Amino acid sequence: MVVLQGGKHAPTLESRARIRHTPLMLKIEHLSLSIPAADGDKPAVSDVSLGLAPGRVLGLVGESGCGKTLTAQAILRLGESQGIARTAGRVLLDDADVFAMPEPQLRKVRGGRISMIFQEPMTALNPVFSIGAQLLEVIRLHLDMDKQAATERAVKLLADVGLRDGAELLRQFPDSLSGGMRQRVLIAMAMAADPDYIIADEPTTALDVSVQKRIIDLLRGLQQERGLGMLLVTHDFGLVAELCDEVAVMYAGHIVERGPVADIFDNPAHPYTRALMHCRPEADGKGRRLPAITGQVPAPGKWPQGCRFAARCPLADAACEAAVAEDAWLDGKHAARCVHVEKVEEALEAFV
Amino acid sequence: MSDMDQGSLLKVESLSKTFASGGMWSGKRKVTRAVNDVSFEVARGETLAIVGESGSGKSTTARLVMRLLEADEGCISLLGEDVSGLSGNALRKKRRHMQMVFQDPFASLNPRMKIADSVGEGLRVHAPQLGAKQRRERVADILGQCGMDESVMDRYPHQFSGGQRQRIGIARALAVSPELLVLDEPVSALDVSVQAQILNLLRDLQKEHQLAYLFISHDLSVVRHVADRVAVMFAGHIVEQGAVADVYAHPRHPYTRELLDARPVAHPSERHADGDVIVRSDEGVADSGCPFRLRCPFAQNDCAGFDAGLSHADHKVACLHPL
Repeated sequence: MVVLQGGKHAPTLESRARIRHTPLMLKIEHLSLSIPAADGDKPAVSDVSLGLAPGRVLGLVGESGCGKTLTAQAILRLGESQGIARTAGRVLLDDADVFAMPEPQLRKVRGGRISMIFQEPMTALNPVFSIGAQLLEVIRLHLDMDKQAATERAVKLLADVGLRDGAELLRQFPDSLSGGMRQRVLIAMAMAADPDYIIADEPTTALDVSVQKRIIDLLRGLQQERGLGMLLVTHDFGLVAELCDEVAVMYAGHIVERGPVADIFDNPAHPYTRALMHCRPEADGKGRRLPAITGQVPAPGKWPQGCRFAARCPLADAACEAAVAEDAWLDGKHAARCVHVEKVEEALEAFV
Repeated sequence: MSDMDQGSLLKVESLSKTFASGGMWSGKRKVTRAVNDVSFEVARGETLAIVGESGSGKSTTARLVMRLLEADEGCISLLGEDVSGLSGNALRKKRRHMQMVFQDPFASLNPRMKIADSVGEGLRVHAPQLGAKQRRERVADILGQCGMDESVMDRYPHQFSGGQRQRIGIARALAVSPELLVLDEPVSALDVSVQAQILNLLRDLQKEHQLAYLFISHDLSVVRHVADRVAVMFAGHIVEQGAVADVYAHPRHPYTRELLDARPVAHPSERHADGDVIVRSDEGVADSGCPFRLRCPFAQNDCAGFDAGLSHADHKVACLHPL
């Protein structure tokens, strides 16, 4: 393994390209997280395992409050300042535990090996610094470049994300950019140090449909061209259909279904996945009732012993009162945390 | 306006609104035509959706209709009466007939008012004859129709989830028995599963009370599901208007087609082969002529002189070279 230390010996882009030929892997193993609350820490993510390979896109899907953003941010230990603590498990970047890394090494990983694209392009840029100041900061932090070389790279990065007139853009401030342009700038920043992995947390949710489409195309283009491993956090199965190779569905802090994207779409096994996919209004016109899931995601710390979805599930019975294994149902690489998968068709009828 | 046909509940004619921005010191004052010569009608019991991207003027249109903003030009008739000139008490009386539901259920309820008071507030104004007890009964009834039980009445907004708050927001609007609800992105802030619950609720309430909806949304799938007719807005203009089935099956304005094509695919197998990094401008609105011509793949020279007026068919389009 080539050592990726920063400082004066920051890797050149060429060495990065070479390194990429060795099989790398980003792994989350049995990760559990807690969030602080007035009456003590509460478990918010439990026993989540995920693997992300270069060149692959993994979708992490679920409603808000299911722990998907917490999980994604834990890869870079981003929640720690808000008191989010790891209670079990580890995050491995090429066999090095991110949670065991000293701060300087972690800083090199953040934005260097693994970078992040956030949901809200309006707040992710600092309004009092120019685009250039913010983009150059990232480049010079991670790559050993003087100001002129960094500026050239910045202009090239902006061009790569479809923004012409990069030199002019560098002088501008975030408030003069539209939401779509800001998200492009943030994607350019994420690409600044030529990372191996990208974590994209709802990257298009705050954007207009037509802009959304272009950002999806851009992400797909960059991901394929550079062989990036991407973790896409989203609640939108449309985005999953557009971008992902594999899917993991989260509910109430743990994974309830996982598998290759085609399997998930063709044969959603967990009643929760099935309902989520079908409660989107689709091509049919006015008048039909949508399958809706009654109730809400149970809050952290209020999870039942057995199946966490049981309270909202039309198939729930006594068998669901015992804890259900993540692979209670298994078909090749497709697994579901449910003991009633064979009856799942009925579930959809019952949801309406 | 007395010769309006029976079915028409709301009629909006040639509505325009400009906003001035910037230039307090720099002298670079910029005038934006947020709503430009917009006309539409909403009949009893029907849903007209206004769809468009942010900045298209759809929310401004909703606020103009509600008279929360003053229009520069144009006429708004409700139940055959021109309400655009009304103010004070006369306007307040008319508001019983049209109520608004906002996007953000977190911001639209007063955090210091109990749910019973928030929902019953309109009744104090519009049904002053009701005693406190009767009002409470009426509020409980409305909340029940919106899927909330009586126990919520003495609680505060922060104790509820987004979906529940949106139910409360809808109950609050319904309390005074309006004929028209103006819904400004009512499900955009909600998770898909909760969104489905609220869309089902709106559907049931519409059937039961013969409600008309003016439904503002940027989400084409939602619009397809809820609306009878749709008006597509771009840069303050309505560029296409017609029955939902027609507009979705045969979009005639290039912008409508762009919006429809931009929807994510339904299945991974429909994915387009490769990514497209090259982009056209994210914005770019022409100041004169057809506002869409800078982005339009079919634009020709004569588009610069086009007044962007809607055609007069059932399926209206504002385009010199419709698809």
